[in-house]
Amino acid sequence: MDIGVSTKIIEGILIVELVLFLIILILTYGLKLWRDRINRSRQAKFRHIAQFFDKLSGNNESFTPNLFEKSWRKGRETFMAFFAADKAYSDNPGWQKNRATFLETTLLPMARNFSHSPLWLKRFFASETFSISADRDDEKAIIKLTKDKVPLVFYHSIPAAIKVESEVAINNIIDRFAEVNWIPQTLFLEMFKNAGPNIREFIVKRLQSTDKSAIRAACYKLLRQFPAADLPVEQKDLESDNFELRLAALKYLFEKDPKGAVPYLIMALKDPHWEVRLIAIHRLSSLKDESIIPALAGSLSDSDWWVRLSAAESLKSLGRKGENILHERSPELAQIPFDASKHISHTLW
Amino acid sequence: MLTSIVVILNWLVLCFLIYCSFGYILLLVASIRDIFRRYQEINVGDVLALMKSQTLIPVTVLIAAYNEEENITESIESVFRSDYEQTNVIVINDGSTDGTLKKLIERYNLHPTNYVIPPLIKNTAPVKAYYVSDTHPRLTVIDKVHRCKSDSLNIGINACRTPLFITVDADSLLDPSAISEMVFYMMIRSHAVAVGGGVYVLNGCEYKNGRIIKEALPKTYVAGVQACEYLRSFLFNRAGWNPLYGALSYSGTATLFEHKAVIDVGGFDLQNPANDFEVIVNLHAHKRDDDIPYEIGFTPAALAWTDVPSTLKQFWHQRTNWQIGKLRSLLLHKYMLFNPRYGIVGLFTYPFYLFCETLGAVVEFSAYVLVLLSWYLGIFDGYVVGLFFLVCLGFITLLTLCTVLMNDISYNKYGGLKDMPRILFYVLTEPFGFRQISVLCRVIATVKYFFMKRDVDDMAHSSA
Repeated sequence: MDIGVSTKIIEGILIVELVLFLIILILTYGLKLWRDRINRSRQAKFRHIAQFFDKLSGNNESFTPNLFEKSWRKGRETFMAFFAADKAYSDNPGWQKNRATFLETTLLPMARNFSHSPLWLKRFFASETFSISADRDDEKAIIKLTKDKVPLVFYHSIPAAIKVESEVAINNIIDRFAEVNWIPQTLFLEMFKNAGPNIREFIVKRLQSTDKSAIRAACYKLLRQFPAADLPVEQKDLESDNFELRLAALKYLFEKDPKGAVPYLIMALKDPHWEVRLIAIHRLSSLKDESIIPALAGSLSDSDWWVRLSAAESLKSLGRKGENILHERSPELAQIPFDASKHISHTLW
Repeated sequence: MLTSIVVILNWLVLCFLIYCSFGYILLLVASIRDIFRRYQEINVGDVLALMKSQTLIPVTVLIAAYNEEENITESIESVFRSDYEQTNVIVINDGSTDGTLKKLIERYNLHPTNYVIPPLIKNTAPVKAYYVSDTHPRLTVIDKVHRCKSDSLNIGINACRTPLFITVDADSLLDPSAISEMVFYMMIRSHAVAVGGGVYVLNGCEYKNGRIIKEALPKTYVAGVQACEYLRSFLFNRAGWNPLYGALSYSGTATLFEHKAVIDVGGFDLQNPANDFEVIVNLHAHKRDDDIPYEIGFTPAALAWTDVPSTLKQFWHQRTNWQIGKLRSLLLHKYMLFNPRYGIVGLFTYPFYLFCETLGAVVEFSAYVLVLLSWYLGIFDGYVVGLFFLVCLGFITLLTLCTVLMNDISYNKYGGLKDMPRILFYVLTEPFGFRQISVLCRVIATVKYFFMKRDVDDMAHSSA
């Protein structure tokens, strides 16, 4: 390439850089000023709405929608102020009296509009509102939100789906639950804690209608959030190739019928997956039954350190007979005060 | 003949610069959505309320300390201030010769106890004592024979009994919401095994009892430039990799790991001074080798503050270690280079880290030499040489300015309008002088790595 042309190209690039530089500089300053202005106006709006809620909680008059300004029905500030007030005035009879009317007449219609928005923040507020108040008419919107790709929207749609008892939405949640690993599953399980018997029935129905091991494992895990009921655990699940299904079925079986689960737990001590063996030890030792000592003693030679440690801890917790086994294996082992481990906070898990 | 060679080399360098620039622009664009999404989540989405439950996954914070008498309690206190309730702390005293252990014993009423640390990661240095606290039940201190930071972290991993742990440097402070943000990020991903957090420069900030009282830019020039460099590195560089299964590098200052995943890769490499880099590369390699679905991510919403070198000498030493560590790690996993088996990591991430982030310094240095040589040989005149330098360095300035802009309209960590002139001063002057020092340091480290193995081994051993 001719040197003159190269020079022109480099000069061109430099000019572009300089222009970009100036634009970014102006943007930086401009956006700072703009953001400060927007924030001030949002904060002012939030304050006004918060003051309105404050008044609402303090007097005995009933809320009527015409009291709520039209301009407040559009932005996010109404939702933010409402949820803040809901926390602050949870014990206030004035607030409780007007809250339901406000939700019904103002916030829910806003949430219904927001639930179809392409902006995730609006869908989030819709989801959050449905999570505290929704009726059967909102089922369609909630089903849509349970398929939302944005996690915050999706997570808030779980309590909403539970509230309206939507089978389709619950099935969407089960599908999503089965796709993720144990870390996000913790959050799902948290949300199913106070679910009613109908939700349990949906999960049972799903369990009985599918052969997919990931879905079956998900169903067992979710069912453990409900009081144990007479749902038989299928033998094929306890012998599945999928260790998560074996583990979930075993845990469910134990919660349903601890004594009846003992033979399966003893079998699980030989499971190829260390986590299944570990859980089997924990569950067996929780029974405080000396008859399981020989089975636990076998786990002292397990290939996995955690399993061996848990077996030793369990034997120790079973009293003199268990300690004797430890003594026989290694006098040093028995002398280790495993109680020391309880000092540290990791016993939480 | 020489002229022809120089012309060809010039073209090669130009292609390389275009490749790197293209990569950085892609990362910048990819990061924008993520940064603002995380920002909106904490400001409007009330992530923290979601993370308040007692039944969420407990986390252990591992703090490796070697002669950190001055900073250690600040660091621990910052963790105690965390709003994530299920947080435990294990401090590993790596045979400090100052009063680190004494200070910890006195401050937290520690007393020794017997405890078994499972040898999940083997070949660790002997543990001298294991302390628990009467007043702070969530704190454990392990006193061990001095070896290195990686070894301390490995012992911490062995002692950790929670499914997640976070590494935090002893001279760093965690933001109260950092743990919640990292755990939340892990929970919204299907298969995350590690999550890095954003790191800001602590020098210049006012803090007391682990709490930042006033966020401010560093007062010294060396630390100030690094504050801008950290913005560039942590805002767009790391966040930009999120859609591509994650970067190869997250700061050891604040990274959340799945306990088992790190044990599976054998913990932190004892020989590598950039142990945080190595463990992430190892996680990518291991998960892809075994075809296990995984993600490694970054959330700029989780903030940590760290002390950076405030003199050029300290800066040089730190960057030498980082360069050697990165080279060691990348070359150890050279089988990943353009290997389709490793997917996007093998085909794009690894080559980008090797050529742009690590060997980029050597190419940049060669470019300086080549352009000057071209000028000497009459290929370019002085005007073109000047233009070329301005274009290259202007590009870096633009990238940094973009991150300053993103920081300003999102987390806004460095004050308001009155701090702008100082930030701009650092942004504008960094490419002219400071950057060349950094490049020279990395080139010398690279030469040392390839040609002075013994020096490198000694250095790695003393600083890993």
